[in-house]
Parts: sequence; structure tokens; C-alpha cells
Amino acid sequence: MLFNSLEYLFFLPVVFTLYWLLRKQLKAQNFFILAVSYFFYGCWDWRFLSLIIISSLTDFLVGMRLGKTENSGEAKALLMLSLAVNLGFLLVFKYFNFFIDSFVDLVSVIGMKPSISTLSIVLPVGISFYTFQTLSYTIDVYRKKLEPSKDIVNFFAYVAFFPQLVAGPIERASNLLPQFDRLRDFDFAQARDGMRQILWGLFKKVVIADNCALYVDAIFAGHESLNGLILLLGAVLFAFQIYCDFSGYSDIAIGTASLLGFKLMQNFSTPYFARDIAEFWRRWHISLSTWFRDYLYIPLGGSRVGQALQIRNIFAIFLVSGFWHGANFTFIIWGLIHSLLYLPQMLMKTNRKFLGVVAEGKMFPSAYEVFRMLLTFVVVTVAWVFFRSDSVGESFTYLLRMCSFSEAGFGEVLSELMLNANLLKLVALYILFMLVVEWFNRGKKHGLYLMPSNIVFRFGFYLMLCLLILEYFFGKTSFIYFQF
Amino acid sequence: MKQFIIRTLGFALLLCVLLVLLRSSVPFHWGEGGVDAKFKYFLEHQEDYNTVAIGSSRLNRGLIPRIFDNKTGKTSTFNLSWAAVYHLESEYLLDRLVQEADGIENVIFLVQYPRKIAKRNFHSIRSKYLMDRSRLGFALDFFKKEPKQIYRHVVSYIENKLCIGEVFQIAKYHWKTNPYEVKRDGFYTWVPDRKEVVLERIKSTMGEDVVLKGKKFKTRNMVYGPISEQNKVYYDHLLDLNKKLAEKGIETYFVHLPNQPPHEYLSELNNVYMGDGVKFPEYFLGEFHIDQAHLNEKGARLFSRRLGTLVGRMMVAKAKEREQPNKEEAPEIIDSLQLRDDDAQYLEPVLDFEELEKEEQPF
Repeated sequence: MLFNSLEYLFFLPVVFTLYWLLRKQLKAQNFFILAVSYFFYGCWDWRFLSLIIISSLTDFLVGMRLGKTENSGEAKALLMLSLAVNLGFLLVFKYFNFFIDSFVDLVSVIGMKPSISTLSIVLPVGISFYTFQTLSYTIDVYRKKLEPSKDIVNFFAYVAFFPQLVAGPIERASNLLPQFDRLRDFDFAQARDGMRQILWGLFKKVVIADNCALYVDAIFAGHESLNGLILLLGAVLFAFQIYCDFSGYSDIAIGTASLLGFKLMQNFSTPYFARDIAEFWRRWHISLSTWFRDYLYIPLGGSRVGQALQIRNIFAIFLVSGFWHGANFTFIIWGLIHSLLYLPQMLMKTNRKFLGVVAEGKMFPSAYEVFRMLLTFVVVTVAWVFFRSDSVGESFTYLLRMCSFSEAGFGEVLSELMLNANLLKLVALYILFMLVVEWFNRGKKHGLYLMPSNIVFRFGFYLMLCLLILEYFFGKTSFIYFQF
Repeated sequence: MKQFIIRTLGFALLLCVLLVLLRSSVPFHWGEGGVDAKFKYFLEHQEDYNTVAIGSSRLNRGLIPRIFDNKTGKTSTFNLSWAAVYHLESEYLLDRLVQEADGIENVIFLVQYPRKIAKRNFHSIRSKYLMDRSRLGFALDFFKKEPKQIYRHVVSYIENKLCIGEVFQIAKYHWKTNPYEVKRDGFYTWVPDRKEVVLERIKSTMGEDVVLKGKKFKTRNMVYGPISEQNKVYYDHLLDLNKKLAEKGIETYFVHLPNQPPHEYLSELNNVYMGDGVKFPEYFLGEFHIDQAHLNEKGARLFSRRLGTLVGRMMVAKAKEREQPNKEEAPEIIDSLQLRDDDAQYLEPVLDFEELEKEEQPF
């Protein structure tokens, strides 16, 4: 079930009502969350629920045992077991074919032709998210930073918590699990804020990301014959598509959790207002970057090691992060580009130069800040080309062609691609609107965190967002009469 | 929590009111430009007509009102048919039309087996603007063994009620002029720029040299088999429709296309069977068609004459039944299904053929 589906519009109020009818009955409430979370996931494919259950059970039992054992050897073995199960699933379901293909490509270079066939494996939705979430629990318990959970329902509900099950934020056990252990009270302000965040998330996902996708898909598919200007447009639109898609989904997840009395971590914090790459990474997919920081970068020594190791650590974190996004060299190159952009800042110790919010306390940024934001956006956008392309070769072709020029007009090219020029103008307007709204809420939890107190303005604003969301909810389809 | 629920429901209510107001700002026929233009025209000139024809492009291109009226001698017909107006849409439009228009005495209703909402058309305005409770009820009954269709119809209904994906279209409806022109009692017209598009599409999908003769085409039109549970739902629905219209004093003539003979289950309807394709070979001759399903101007004349004759005879019979003998003779009909020499008269143009071609270019 998708957040931006009609089913979810019915699912959420029903869950909300039944959930709060069970208030003051913690066990029943948690069991209810577990049941609806499995239902939510099962709507996609119930067979893959088995993976979540195995993952959850393994980590629950490992956690229990880790809590009891004093033997460091046994503890390490238990940790390895958890890593093997969780990363094993990830390896098989997400990376198996990639490794086979890469191996075949590699040996074919030296003239061998191995006949290893790939498997037709369906990638289970959200596997990268819940695997990391449950791993964080085991690692924290292993490190004695967290008491093992004693309640199997609470733990299972923590792993499968439906708002963030399929696309994050990747919650730490230390933040989310204790929330399952205590009675949750309805908080008006939190619920209202949750509703606003859902609304804003839907706006970004449905109105901006889905509309950008129409242009991005067509432009990337036909990039070999398109001119530089239109390819630039494709890259910029993809930058907004991926931001609005991902952050929109996170907003809906966090907002939904707020309605149920849970507090999830912030996942995006206006990353396109970042003034350098380091700041960008403090604002983009925060739950993942902090996960890698805590469970990969710091264990590798972080920045408290020699320069060579520091460089290795930076490459490691960005390459793994790239690979986490997908089993393709394009993601690895994307990670590599970011590591190369980040590295000079780290070596010159300027990576923590911009810790605060841009133009704090001011209405508008300075020209210098605008320049830095634009520059960061440009390099991030170039890197996105690798993220979006199907192959590394395609990315390079795309970037090279981006520098080409042709006399074909914008409108002409759009009509050749059967794209609507009027909708593009509207999309540009929506993006501008989103940037303005987020500018006034930069540094806040989400785009609608601060709203004017005037009730008429506020409700008018919400109504306008609702109308726009309804307009694009299922995308734009034209009736095709083709049944002679 | 109470405060939260009240506020949320209040907001939802406000939104619903806004959507209902928005939705009610457009007439019932707003969903398709051509349909809209025809219905608008008809409603503005309804006093000129006592008969309407509703159906898909087959009727749109097949029924020339003036020829039809000439043969019945009793009707003044407006052809409200339009491309892809299939059963649900026809029925919706008719249902709403008779609520708004006075003076409709006869309806020529093209019998078409209900169609599924194809994936490519799901969420399009055309698939949903007609989805009211009545249409949904029928669709759920008819497609009860097809979960995907149930889902698509329910979603289309909800989309329509909540104006999902319709807001801009509604705004555009108010701001933009409809490019379609209505001419000649609603008989098929091309908007010049669209004509090329459609011509191109037909060429690209069927080739320029369409061979209409042969088994393939005849088989294509073999729709009715033995009465199945699903057919029964549909037939019952047609019977209900007939009854509903009869209660309003409207006589409905159900037109069955060649090779789609009316099932005996429908015998209480005014069935106008347009002939057996095998015995009426002219329906399958290339010279009367523009493609596998649609008649050309010449074919349309033949069709309109035959339909007019059959309907006219039924009207006379009806009048006799009501003991109101009509002074006029019933239109002469060729009862034999064989093509006879005197059928040639049906090929004579009623209107000046050259004049017609000047007026609008047939295919």
C-alpha cells in the first residue's frame, strides 16, 4: 500500500480511530500496530512478510541472548549471526544478480564465458530500511548501549512499524523502541503537526515529484537525441523529483507516526538550501547518513585516525551509501562523486563550517549565500545524473550531451517527446512555491511547521494544497479511444 | 482528541462542500468535448426535437437524422451519439438528459455490451465523470466476478465524487471555449485539426487498404452467445431502463447492430435489429465503410433509411396498439433479408451528394 493511494486515505483514519479506542491498553495498542503493519506490508506481497518475521525473530532472540551473556566470544558470534541473517537477505534479494552480472562481465574481459544464470528475484519493498533498523538494535545491544527488548510484540512492532517500514526514516532502536514500552497519550499539538506534515508530504510527492517524473522519464529515455538545454532541464527536474519524492514520503511517515503518538527522527532538512556538500549531507536522508556515521564511519575510526585512514573512511561511507541505494555501478559512482566533493572539505577542516541555518534571523540570504547554495545545487544535480541513469555509460553520454547546443526550440522538443509545455510551467511554479514555503520553515521539522496564525489564511492554504493534491493524485491520464 | 477530531472533520467537511460546489458548477455532460457540445446544443434547441439517438461512433457516423426522420415521418431527431460513448456513458447521459429535457418522446438507444475500464483509461476524466451511484451499482453487479474491474469502477466513482484529478478540467471547462461545432442535427462532424489525427491513426493501425469482406469481420461482430449470468444482468438492466423511460412517457428503440441479434429474453423491448451480416452483405462491403466498424456517408444513408423504416413501422404498430390508428401508411419495408433490386432505392441520395461533400468531407 502506498501513502499516496486511495487505499491509504481510507486505511489511515480507520487505523487512527481503532488505535485510539485502545488507548490505555498498551499491549493491545502495540499488538494492533503490529497487525496493521503486517497488513500494510502484506498488501504489497504477503509472502515477503516471512522475511520481516525471520529478521525480527532473529534479532529479538539474539538481543535476548546478548543481554544474558558475559562471554565476549559468544556475543560476537551472536552479532555475526544477526549480521549474516540480515545482510544475507539483503545480499540475496538485492545484490545477488548484480554480483553475478559483475562477475560474468569481469571474467568475460579475460576471454572466459561462464554460464552462470541470474535469478529472477523480486526485490522486497523496504528491505534496505527495515534491515538497517533491526541491525541498529542488535549492534546497540551488543555495544551495551541499549537494554534488550523483553517484549516480543513491542520488538516486532518496532521493526514493522508501518509508517516507516518501506521508506524510512531508519529509526534507531534507542529512539523508537522505548516509545513502544510506554503508554502513549494523545497530544493535540503533535497530531495537528502530524496532519500538516502529511499534507506537505503529499503535496511534494503527488504534485511535484510525480509530475516531474513525467518529464524526467521522457528526457532520460531519449537523452541521446536531445539538446543540452532540455537535458539540463531533465537533470534539474530530477533533483526536485528525488527530493520531493523521498522527503515527501518521509514527511507522510513522520506525520502518520505523530498521529499515533510516536516521534520519529527528522529525515530531511531543506537540503537544497545547503551551502556546501558537508551541509548537504547533514540535511539529506539524515537517518541513513547518521546510521552510516554511527555504525560504519565511527567504528572504522572516523576522523580520529591518520589522514590516510580518514580518506579511506570517507570513501567507505560514501561508496557503501551509494551501494545501499541500489545494485548498480551508477550508485557507486554517485557515492564516489560525493566522497570526492566531501573530501577536500574534510581535509581542509571546513566540513563543519555551516552548522546553522542559512540566513538565520534574516528574511533573505546574502548574495554570497545564494551563490554557495546554487553552486552546491549544481554539483549535487550533476551527481544525480549518475543516480538516475541506467548505466554509467548513459550518465556520461547524458552529461556530455548536456553541453551540446541545437536550434530546436524548447516547445518543439517537448511536443516531440509528447510532453505538455503548460504542465511544465505549472510544475516550475509548484517547485518555486515549495522552495518559498520551505525557505520560511528552514531549520524547522517540516515545510508547514510554522503557519500564520490567521485562521482564514491557514485554512485557505490547506484547502489549496488539498485541491492540488486531489488534482494530481492519480497523475494525468487522457482517455484513449482505440477500440474500433 | 475531541478538538482534533472536530477540527479535522470540520476541515474535511469544508473541503467536501467546496468539491461538491465545484463539481456542480459543470453540467452533467461536461466530461468529453464532443459530447458536451452536442448536449449543450440539444438542450438549447430541445423544442425542435422529439427524438434523440444515443450511442457510440457507430451510431454517430451511421445515423443521419434527416434521412431517418424522412423515413419514420414522425420524428425530429437529434443524434447525440459520440465516439466511444459505450453503455455506461450512454445510459448515464440518457438518464440525466431525461431529467433535464422536456419533450423527448423517442429514444434511439444503441445496444452495446458494457465495456471494462481499460488500464490506459483508468483515472481519465472520460472514465469517471459518468460514475454516479446508479452506474456504480450496475457496474458492481455486472463485473462482480472481476475484482480488478470492481476496483477500477469503485475508484472511478470515488475520484468523481471527490473531484480527484478534475479540478483543473472543471476550471478549464469554464474558461476555455469548446472547439467542437455541432452541425446538422448532431450528425457526425469532424473538427478539421482532429480529422487528420484520426485519419492517421486509422491508417497506422489498419493500413490504408482495409479489406472489410471476409470471415474475420463477421466473426468480430458475433458478440452474443447463450445467455450467461453476466448477460442476464445486462439484459435485466436494459429492461429496467426501458421501464424507467416508459414511465416518463418515452418510447425507447433499442438498436442492435448486424450480427448482434436481440436475445429472446429482451422480447418486450422495441428491438430494432439492423440485420444479419451474412444476409445483409452490404454492411460488410468496403464501399460502405471507412474501417472495420464505421460506415461512410453512403453506408450511413443506407443505415439511416433502414433504421428509419424499421422504427417507423414500429411506431405505427405502437399507435395501432393504443387504438389510435394512424392515418398515414406505415413506411414500406423490405422484409426479405436478401438484397433485392428495389434495395437500390436506399442507395439514392436523399440529400444532394455533392452538396454534402462540400459541407463536410467524408472519409
